[in-house]
Amino acid sequence: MKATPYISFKDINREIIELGGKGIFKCYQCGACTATCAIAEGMFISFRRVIKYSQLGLVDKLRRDLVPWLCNVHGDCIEACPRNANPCEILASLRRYQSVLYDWTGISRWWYFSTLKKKLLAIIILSGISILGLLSLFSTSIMNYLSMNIFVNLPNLLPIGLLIVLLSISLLVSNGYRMYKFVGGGKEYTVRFFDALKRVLSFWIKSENEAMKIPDKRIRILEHMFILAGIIMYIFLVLLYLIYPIIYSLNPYNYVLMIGRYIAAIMLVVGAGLPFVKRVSKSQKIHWYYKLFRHSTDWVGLGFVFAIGLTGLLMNIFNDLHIYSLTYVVYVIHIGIVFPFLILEVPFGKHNHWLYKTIANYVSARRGLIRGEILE
Amino acid sequence: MSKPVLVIGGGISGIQATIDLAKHGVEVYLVERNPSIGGKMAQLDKTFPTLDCASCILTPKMAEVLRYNNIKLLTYSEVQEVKGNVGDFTVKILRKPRYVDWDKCTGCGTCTERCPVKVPDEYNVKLGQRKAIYIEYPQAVPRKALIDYSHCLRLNPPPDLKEKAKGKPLCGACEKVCPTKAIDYNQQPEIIELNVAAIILATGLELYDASNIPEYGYGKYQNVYTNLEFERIVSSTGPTNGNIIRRSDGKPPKRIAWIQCVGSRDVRFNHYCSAFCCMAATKQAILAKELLPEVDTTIYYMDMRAFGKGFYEFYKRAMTEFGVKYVRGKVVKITERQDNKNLLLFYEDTIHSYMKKDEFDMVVLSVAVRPNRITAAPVKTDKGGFIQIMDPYMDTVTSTTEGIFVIGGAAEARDIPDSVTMASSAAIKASTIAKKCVVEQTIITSGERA
Repeated sequence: MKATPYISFKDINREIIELGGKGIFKCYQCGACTATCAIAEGMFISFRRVIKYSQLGLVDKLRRDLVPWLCNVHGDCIEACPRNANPCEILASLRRYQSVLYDWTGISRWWYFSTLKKKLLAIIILSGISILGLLSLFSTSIMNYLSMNIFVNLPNLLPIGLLIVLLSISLLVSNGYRMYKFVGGGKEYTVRFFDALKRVLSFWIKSENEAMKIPDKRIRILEHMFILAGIIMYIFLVLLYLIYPIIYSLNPYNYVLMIGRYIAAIMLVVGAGLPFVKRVSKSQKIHWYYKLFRHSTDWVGLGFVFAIGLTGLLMNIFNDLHIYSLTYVVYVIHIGIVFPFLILEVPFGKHNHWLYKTIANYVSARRGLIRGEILE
Repeated sequence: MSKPVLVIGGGISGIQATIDLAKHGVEVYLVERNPSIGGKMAQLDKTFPTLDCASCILTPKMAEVLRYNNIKLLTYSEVQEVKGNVGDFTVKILRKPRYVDWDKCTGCGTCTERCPVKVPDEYNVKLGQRKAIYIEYPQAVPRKALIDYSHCLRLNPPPDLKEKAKGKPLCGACEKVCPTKAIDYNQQPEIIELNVAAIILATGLELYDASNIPEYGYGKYQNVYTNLEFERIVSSTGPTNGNIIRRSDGKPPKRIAWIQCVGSRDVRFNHYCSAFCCMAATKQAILAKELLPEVDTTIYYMDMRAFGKGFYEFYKRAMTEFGVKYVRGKVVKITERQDNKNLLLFYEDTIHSYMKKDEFDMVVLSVAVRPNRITAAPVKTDKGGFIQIMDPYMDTVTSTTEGIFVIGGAAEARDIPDSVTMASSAAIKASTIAKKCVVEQTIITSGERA
């Protein structure tokens, strides 16, 4: 066995507390959180251990651990914790800290440790740049029928847009690759690829199905699913539109696109709007889940989704009501939101979590950490 | 002559304080709520870390209380009111009616054999049975019989029997058989007023109600026991005569688990550590191993708090010599198997760092302790209900009220050696006060009804 030359310690607890893990010092390592967790029931994982890494400041070990990404915030641990440490919040803060570690540009660190005001300022500056850039591409506005292509001179916009998307994806993928390397992806694999895929899918379907039986959890899962499905649908529809633009307004393909865009926009508005309202609400009836500590990046992430959904929905409505001037205005705002979303939020903010979660699930499944059957 | 001192609570610390005060030549009143002194220690089988027989240590001390002329023993009595200042406390004590003249009773036990009513036994933590007229346990001091008013057919007959009897007195079996004619159904509660120089509170601890913790299913699952219940089961004077058998089928268990910190060190229930459970569970596991050599014993703990002299060696000895298994991890849930009433424990084994499940025949919960509430004495209590002490370093037995001392479990969760040490310490402090005071009043016994 190769001996580690030294172990690096770094006091990260202040940063973890700043990111929301208020109870980090309360934990006395009993393991109640793992023992009560529906996910840990089907996996060989321990949440207690990552908390200990953080307490001790073992950054290398923390960086290597993929357990925080397996948490689905079911919240059974909060009730079981004898120290009232709120393991859910600690794990969320560890996820934030880990995504800071995975990022090589340093922007993620700034994004997570700066105030909400600074973040909003950055977003406004970026969206200002994008709107100005968009207006510079402006050619002619045709008010008697809608033609985005002519409005923004699509052949000029397309390469720029593709460039931005490529930049966003390359930043995201490079951070994802760093995570894959950090957690030691490719090593200690015991399960074959398709076997792992089968296991991970059947495990999550089973465990989320169990969770769906409880009304509180069901509504949370549905909200999350709405956002996820809405974004995927939107990406799909935009790609479709770019490959096969609408030519004849009476083509049935046109209606498919239109209905699809409505559904996706409504999904985003509802999926992001409902939790937004519940988190802001002061009512006592609101479930504890919405009262958990929320980092400013969570608000921004949710706000982005809501704004994109809302502007998309308005664009569709104005278009179908033939109010073209308003459609153009909303379109400009929409692009002004999508641009900072792609540049900041996707590679550095909360919306990269789905990639990290996927990697964590894949690596743990390949390592045989999924039991295959639920513990009786 | 010096003024008397009042000791409230007749557990091991109260007994020790009483004896020490008597040896100093101070007159002492020892008030005990139960019919016999002895307290929690009388219910224990063995002591840690030496595995000595608990009653072999306690019983001579209990008997010693009777030997001193300056000790006045007031069992089956409760303190109702405390007034006054240091050197001049006026205390009202309610002597509950025993319905037996204790001057005449010889403690022969003939009446308990004849009594037709069977009641769950408090001494055996309701695992065994006693009669409506009973002697608390064979080594009781004073060894006198008394009648439990609420269950006696004569004193408190059930309504249907009362109608049938048409005004005639019912039962009366004990009165017929008593050789000394000690039974007195007309005894009334008495109130005694005492004037004392100092008060020592030794009100002790009670077990936290484990059924408040639904995850462990105490009270719902038959084979889940508290540590005090298990102590009675392994004891040769206990309800099963020292045979470890399961409540569900009466068979000896093959696997026993102890769960530590049940309701203690847990912000949801009690935030403090109960101090003695780690060693008590270790001791109980050893006792189980001695009684059933084949049994598999596992202790689920979070921190092994072996703080006293010889405690760590005791813990090591349990592991190496007796083969008691220790698993670090908090059990969060117990479920019962329907077919054989075995219990499934869910926990994270923090050595291997993943969730595990184990099956056991019997589970013993090391339940937290709580201080007995004493409302009569003018003392301050802390967050956990324990009586506050003056100074945690230099004066660990004086309460915040001058002249009132607090010893044993009333101040914090303690083991026997600590309690006894504090008792002697409080005794000398109380006797210093008592010897400065001059007697002004003697006992006033009023026959008025409570």
